[in-house]
Amino acid sequence: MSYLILVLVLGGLGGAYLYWPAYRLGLSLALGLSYFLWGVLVHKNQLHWQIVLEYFSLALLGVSLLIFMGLRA
Amino acid sequence: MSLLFHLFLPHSSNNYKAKTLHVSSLSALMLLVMVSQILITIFSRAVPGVLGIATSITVQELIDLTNSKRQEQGLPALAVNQTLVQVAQQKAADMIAKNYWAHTSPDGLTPWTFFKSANYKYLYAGENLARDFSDSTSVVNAWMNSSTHRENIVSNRYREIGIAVIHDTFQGQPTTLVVQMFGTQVSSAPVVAQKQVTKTVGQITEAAEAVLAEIQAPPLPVIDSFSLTKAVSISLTLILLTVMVIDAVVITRKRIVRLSGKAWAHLVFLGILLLVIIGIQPGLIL
Repeated sequence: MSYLILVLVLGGLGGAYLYWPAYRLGLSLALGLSYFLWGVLVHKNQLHWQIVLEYFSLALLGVSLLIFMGLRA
Repeated sequence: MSLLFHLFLPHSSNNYKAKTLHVSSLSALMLLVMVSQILITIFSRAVPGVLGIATSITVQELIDLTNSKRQEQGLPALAVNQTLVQVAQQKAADMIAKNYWAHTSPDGLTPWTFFKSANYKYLYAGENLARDFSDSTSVVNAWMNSSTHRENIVSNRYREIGIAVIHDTFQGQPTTLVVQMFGTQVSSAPVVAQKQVTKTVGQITEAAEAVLAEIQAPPLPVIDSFSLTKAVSISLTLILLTVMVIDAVVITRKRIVRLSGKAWAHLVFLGILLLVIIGIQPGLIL
């Protein structure tokens, strides 16, 4: 169930990113933040700073790529 | 060989997690992306002939494509009006001079101001804007996919068209601006003489004329900065996805227990990221 939510949220935000170019900056941040929060919530019972950092760094890398792509497009 | 194992495979040397997936490596990759983007920006400004935006948009193609879309709807083709061409050029130059991307300028000039200042007495008038597209077909397709822009292109109210395609540095980066003006004049009188057209309102033309005077067709860059960024982003995401899949397979097979995020979630995130990056196309319309 949690994976379905993740796919729907990220897929929806990804689609919106492609469809509404004017909101790419906000949607990039929303996509990264959603992924990070999903990771934190899913691991809430065994949350460790290493796991938090892992989700954070991956989300930040994704956001950076999307922001730069949006700026170049 | 051991370095490759260390970087891409879960191993005792990397605490059973590919080094590429460690937080330190992900941070380094992010830093690399940022530095590369800064370098691309600096390099494209310093040497515009090598790195920049590659565009093949031409006024004639845009007119042909617009008229072709109209003819598909059974509408007559629009005639090119030189006054409207000048209106479009003035609008494009004004946007560059005052650094705005909007139908109305920051000091309140609407598109209709440009029509009036060029002495184009219109019964109906319309404006479509586009920027950063690589070819004429993409511009017209983007307009046709937007109901308001499509309405302008296939409106039976318009009889004339004027288009300006201007390459310049706009809002900090090399850009191709497209301004498409539509109109129907009040009278069927012939288009005003070129001499009258150039007599425009000073408020609009002073800054815009300076821009128009400076504008020259840029050299076609060897490398398109958008394509380069896209290629780098796709490569990076693909490498991470591959390492992540290998990591997940090895960990599952060897039944290694470790403190880590969910591999499937990472795969979903990177997969969606890859699809978005592949799907992104350059260009904005207004």
